[in-house]
Amino acid sequence: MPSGTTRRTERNNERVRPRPALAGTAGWLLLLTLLLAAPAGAAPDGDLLDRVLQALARDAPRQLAFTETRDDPLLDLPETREGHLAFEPPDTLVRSIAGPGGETVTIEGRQLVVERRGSRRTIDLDEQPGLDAFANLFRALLGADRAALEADFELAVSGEPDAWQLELVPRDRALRRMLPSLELSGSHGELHHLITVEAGGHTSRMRFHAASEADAPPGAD
Amino acid sequence: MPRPVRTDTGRPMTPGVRAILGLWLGGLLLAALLLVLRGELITDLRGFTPDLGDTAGIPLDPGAGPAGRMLLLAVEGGSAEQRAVASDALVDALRADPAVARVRNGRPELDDRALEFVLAHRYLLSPRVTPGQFTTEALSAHLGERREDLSSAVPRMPRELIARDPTAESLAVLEQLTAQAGAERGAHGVWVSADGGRALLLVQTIAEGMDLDAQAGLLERLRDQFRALEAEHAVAERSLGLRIGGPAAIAVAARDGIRGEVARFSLLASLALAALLLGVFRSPHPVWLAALPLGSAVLAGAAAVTLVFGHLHGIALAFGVTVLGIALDYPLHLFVHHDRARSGGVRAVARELWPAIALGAASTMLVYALMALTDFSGMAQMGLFVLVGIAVAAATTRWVLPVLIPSHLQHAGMPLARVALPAWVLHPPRVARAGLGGLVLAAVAVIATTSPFPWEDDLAALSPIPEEQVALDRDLREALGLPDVRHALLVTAPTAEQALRASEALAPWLDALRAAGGLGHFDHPARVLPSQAAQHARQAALPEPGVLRERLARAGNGLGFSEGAFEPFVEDVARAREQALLEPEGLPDGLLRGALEPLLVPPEAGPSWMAWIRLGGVRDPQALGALPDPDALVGARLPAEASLRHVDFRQASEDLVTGFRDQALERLGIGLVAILVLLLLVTRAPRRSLRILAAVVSGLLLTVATLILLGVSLSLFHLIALLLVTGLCLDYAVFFSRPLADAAARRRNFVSVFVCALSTLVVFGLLGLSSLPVLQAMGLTVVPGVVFSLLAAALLAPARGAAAAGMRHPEP
Repeated sequence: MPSGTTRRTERNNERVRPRPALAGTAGWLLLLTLLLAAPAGAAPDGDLLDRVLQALARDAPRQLAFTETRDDPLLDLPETREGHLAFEPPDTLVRSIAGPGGETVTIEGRQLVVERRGSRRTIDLDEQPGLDAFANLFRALLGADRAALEADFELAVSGEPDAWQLELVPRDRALRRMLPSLELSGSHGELHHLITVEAGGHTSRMRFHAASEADAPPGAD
Repeated sequence: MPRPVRTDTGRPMTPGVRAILGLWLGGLLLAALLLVLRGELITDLRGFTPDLGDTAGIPLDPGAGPAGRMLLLAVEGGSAEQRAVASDALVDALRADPAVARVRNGRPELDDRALEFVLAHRYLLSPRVTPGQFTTEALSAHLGERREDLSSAVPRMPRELIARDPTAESLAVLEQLTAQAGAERGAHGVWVSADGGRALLLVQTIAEGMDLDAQAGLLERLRDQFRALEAEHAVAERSLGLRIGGPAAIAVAARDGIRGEVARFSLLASLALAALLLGVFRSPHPVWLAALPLGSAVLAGAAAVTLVFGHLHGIALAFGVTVLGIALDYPLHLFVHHDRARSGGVRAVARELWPAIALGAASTMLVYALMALTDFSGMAQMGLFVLVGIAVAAATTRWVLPVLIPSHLQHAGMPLARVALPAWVLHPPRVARAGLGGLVLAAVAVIATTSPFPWEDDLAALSPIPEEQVALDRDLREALGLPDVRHALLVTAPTAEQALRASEALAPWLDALRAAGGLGHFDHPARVLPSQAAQHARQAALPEPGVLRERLARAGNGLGFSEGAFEPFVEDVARAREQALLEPEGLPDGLLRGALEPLLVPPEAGPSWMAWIRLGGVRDPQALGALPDPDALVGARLPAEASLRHVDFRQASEDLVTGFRDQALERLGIGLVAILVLLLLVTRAPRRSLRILAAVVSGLLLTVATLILLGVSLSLFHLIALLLVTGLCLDYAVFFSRPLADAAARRRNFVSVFVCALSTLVVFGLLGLSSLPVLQAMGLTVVPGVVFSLLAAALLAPARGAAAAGMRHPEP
């Protein structure tokens, strides 16, 4: 996969000024790292975490449909929407939500593009220091480097290989303040849920199910 | 100084001798004590500038002001990641340094405390707070955006803040505080150069840019930190390098370069001079004895300046010591004339030479007395320094040296090495004198026809900064989008509030100038901390809680927000309406204070606050120079007590140089006339007086014409060298014009002047070989100066018969 630096030189000039970490991006950027992880092919010895990581790297599909439920203290009712998550080698991830309030987010290299109601924002991931830990996580996973992963997150894995839960707590104080924890659950190499709880009680629950070819996201070919 | 008791026995330690030595040593001790206890050497340009009256306290060199306190750091080599890691590590290390006010490398420098402060005061600090921001329509637009933020994977603002700050004022404030026009972040989130090959940092120092000792200390620590961190992170492969730009870094590098070179060449020149004296006198004693008048002169001059001015300026000291080189001639005259056993011993020689030495010294002192009386404090210091120094050197030669010469030499004399002199030197043919006249006329023609006169007013042209360092500074400055070092606007006002109001009032005019293309960008203190008037207006723009709730309810209709979701917002607004206004003194350390401090300077000595308006990308300096009347410019809003001016730092330093030069030339001109009067009064011999003056003027004219013909642009340093030449030439001419009938005495007299000239030539000839432009300028001026002075003085000396006939009066 080409490095972010070479990508940078190609990106357009539209820029967004730096602002505090966008915690919401963190959760599913993590997915990107999981989806991108190359099949490790190592023997499934080691502990549960090793086995889960290896299974994910080996089996996680390139495309996932999901149902996201946002439960927000500022809103009267929870909000439920359907969307798609697609990975295009070598380094593009598209998250799209259909419908009138929908949006498409594309991460390509180190650039993130948000398209929503005809408006388009480009964000340099490097300008999002809150996501720095995730960028490191990304690199750590690509390198099959569990040590680097644990340098940025406190990891807690529980359950069995066929029903596991992985909790990630950022070690960075500022990031942890905004994003106290991420919870990922699944069975072998199959993802079931991602639960993100942000400071202030803004909660997102994503439930994954295999995508049918028919309802492929518009962002992916 | 009392006249010594006349004892021709030459036995040391008679009461008279004791008194002389006591006085001398006591005086030196007093001077040394004064310097140790009260001495203060100032090295920045502040103490050197003329007293500007109402604008006193405004630093005029480019290293002053906010731009001077910026160090620009570049980390090179290694990989982009290694550079970013090094950049972060440097930031951590420098944040702990008490000499650093602020350090940035492109990452947001938000700690919780700074964020909390900004949040708590956002309605006072945000420029968007106007009544229009809180209408139902505006709130409706804001709430719509916030509703999207709640469901977006990439919200425009942290969801955490939405309930408190739906209009996103905290983001507006942060954006304004952290904006750094032009700086580009690279692949690892830190500032990088355009090609990505350097990681960039910006350090703001506590010390003024021209406080070179403090800056040098910080630079040293900075490099140490970098080396330590290099070792810590075990940078493999290619090692990283740290390069530092900024006015202070340049000035420190220049100073170190000058110091090293000056020390080297001073040592070299001293050794050469010692060798010359040893060769001429074939005795070690003249070597150390010759240093005494000069040493005493420097000590006394420094003490006198400290006593009068309270401090001594480094530049005045350096210039003064150069000009005091004349003090070396006095002992040499004494030694040359004491070349054989004489009835009166060395003291008789000293007595015999005194009229000539005193006359030369007094004439030279006249010029410096005139300089000492200027209001240009740097020049006044130099004048006083040289004035006192020459007096002390002459007196030391007259009374102290004779008793310090070892007793076996007191009467025996110091036989000279034979200096072979051709007869025509002693008896120059008339045609030579005519030739000199022709040369001087040609010199006058050269000087008069050279237009414009080749003055060099840019001191930087003589500074020993490598081109590479200048280029580095320019590159870093450009990459970081830093404001211009040359131009700034300065507002002074009795209170901080007035200064802030004035800078607020200027913003629209500057915006217009920017729109017209005359200006790239600008930065002013009220952008960081608004005036209390502006803060008050913002408070008044905030709606009452009841009104706000009602508008929110209507604005949020249909968006799905729960009842009371924005109650934290309503509470914050209500609190902001009653909040105590911010003032400069009350800001906490950190982001806000760091951003404000370089722009808003509290009064130190003077009565005024200074608000700096930094300008970047100035394309139309004329528009700034033609700053219209401040009141007309901004209406009645600028407080009456405030003043506004455009500061062109380079122009200011050039004006300083021009001012010094004009004053020096004027004083030299008046001084020459005064010298003529003095000579006339003392010698009562108009012809001799005119000869002396003609020799001095001829020497100077020929020297200047030579420099012009060599294509040299004349700087301050050439001028200082010319002042030395004036003193030397006066000395030579006075000695040559001594009415001596005795051929042996005339010969001795000539040798004496010749040895003096030779010693000066050796010293300054060596300086002329230096690669340092300052030393080169001195050497290049003094060498032809000495040659022409000697020539003019020798040719204008009265012929033997004329001298005897012209002696109507015994020597004074």
